[in-house]
Amino acid sequence: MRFVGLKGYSRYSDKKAYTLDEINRMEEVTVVLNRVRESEDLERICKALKHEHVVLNEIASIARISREKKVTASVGLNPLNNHDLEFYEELGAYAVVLPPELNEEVESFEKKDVKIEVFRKAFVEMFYKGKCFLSSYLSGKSVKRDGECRMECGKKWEVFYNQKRVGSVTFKPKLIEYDVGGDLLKYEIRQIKGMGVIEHGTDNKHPKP
Amino acid sequence: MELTTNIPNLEGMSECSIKPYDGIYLGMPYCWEYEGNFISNLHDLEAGIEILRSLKKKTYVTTFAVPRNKDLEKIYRLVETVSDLCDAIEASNLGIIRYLTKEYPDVKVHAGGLTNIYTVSTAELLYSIGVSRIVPAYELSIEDIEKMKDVGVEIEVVVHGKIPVGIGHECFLKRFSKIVGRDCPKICREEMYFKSEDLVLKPFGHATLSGKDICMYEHIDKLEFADAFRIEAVTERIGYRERVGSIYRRLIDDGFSRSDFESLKALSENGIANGYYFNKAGQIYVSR
Repeated sequence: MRFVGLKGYSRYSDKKAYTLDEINRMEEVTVVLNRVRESEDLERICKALKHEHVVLNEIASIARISREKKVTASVGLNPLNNHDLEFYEELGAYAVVLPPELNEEVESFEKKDVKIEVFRKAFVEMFYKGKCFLSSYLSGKSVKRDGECRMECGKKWEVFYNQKRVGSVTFKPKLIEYDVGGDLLKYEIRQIKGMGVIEHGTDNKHPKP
Repeated sequence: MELTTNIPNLEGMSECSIKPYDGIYLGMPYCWEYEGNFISNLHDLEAGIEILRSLKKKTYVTTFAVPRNKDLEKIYRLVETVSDLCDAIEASNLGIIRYLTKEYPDVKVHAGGLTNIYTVSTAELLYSIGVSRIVPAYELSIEDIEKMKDVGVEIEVVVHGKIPVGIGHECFLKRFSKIVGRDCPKICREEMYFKSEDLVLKPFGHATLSGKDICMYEHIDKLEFADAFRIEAVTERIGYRERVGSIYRRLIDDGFSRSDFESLKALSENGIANGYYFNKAGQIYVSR
């Protein structure tokens, strides 16, 4: 299954996203709507999408849209533990995407009806995905609201401790591949190719859906 | 109007630093290992609650902001210890928030600033499941926050102090332990800053904070719709909480004072900013 972003509604800028018409001409794609918008706006756009599977980053919209479509809770919601999974299951989510930083502890998650989606390939960043406000703090562009990141983390930062310079550091995102199991396996390459891929996992604890 | 702040450990519990405030959040949400952190030292936490009770202050307890499965047992113990003792528990993880509203329906739950409450519809949903107070996402403008007021949930806003610009799985200070010759938890006894040209960030535990102090002293009237004003002081040096709190207490009770505003600026080692309240880059300051 491929996944694509909708212009105006997905992260990683509109340059790598598609219009509503383009997406509705595609066959079998999951549509990523992971900018944070009011639920009413997301419901309206979902009604116009012919595809049955969307990725959302706002909890009220998950509760409402999951009555009509298959909804994956975005990694931008920063699910970190079993209670998060229970909550998204309660809201009606089909799957929850775990941050790649949790790949070594996927086994610690209890098996539930909601599917666990893990990153096989992802850009690992300075902060958890969905918990970074650096771009808007420094340059006014919000990843969560504008879908645009100015990559301020990639600057060279001088490090001062007790007022003395002790070194420098950069937090440029790194593309990392993982050998990890889950119900669904995500290859997040939308930032590069405009389309990502989701495969069904074969992990025993999180078997093929 | 309720004036609140946060205190990480018993060391910060002097009577004069508590006095200007109506409510206190106990605990450091960015790091379990912080020295004396109330959320890791439950006997200290009970003592802290006792002090606040004796001073007739509202007593809130915070929780670790980014809890993974390995952290859950510690959170269960914390909640079990304080559920009958405090006025509310603050959480910034949606799973923990839901756990609290389900398992402890009589306990008031506050959703912290890292919960990512960006929309009216999110605020409505949280209110509907039992959350009594929210700190809207730091990135929101005043207009966006004010729209949430109609939901009925109490609104708390940060009016002063350093706000998180991100939180992750790693403490960046620990990367420099060998270089500076201090291990965790001693390493955060002194302040670390990341600087690039005129930009400044303050790493602290799993969070990285704005280097500048958010300051809404000049614009406080624009936030009067809120139910509580918070002074973020959980990572600050001794004396900061008391001085900033006293200035905002005078602002609420007596109105604007130019000399108090100048004092606030002098207390901010990297300058002041308005955060995101005016739909601009968070590090910019707009004068009245």
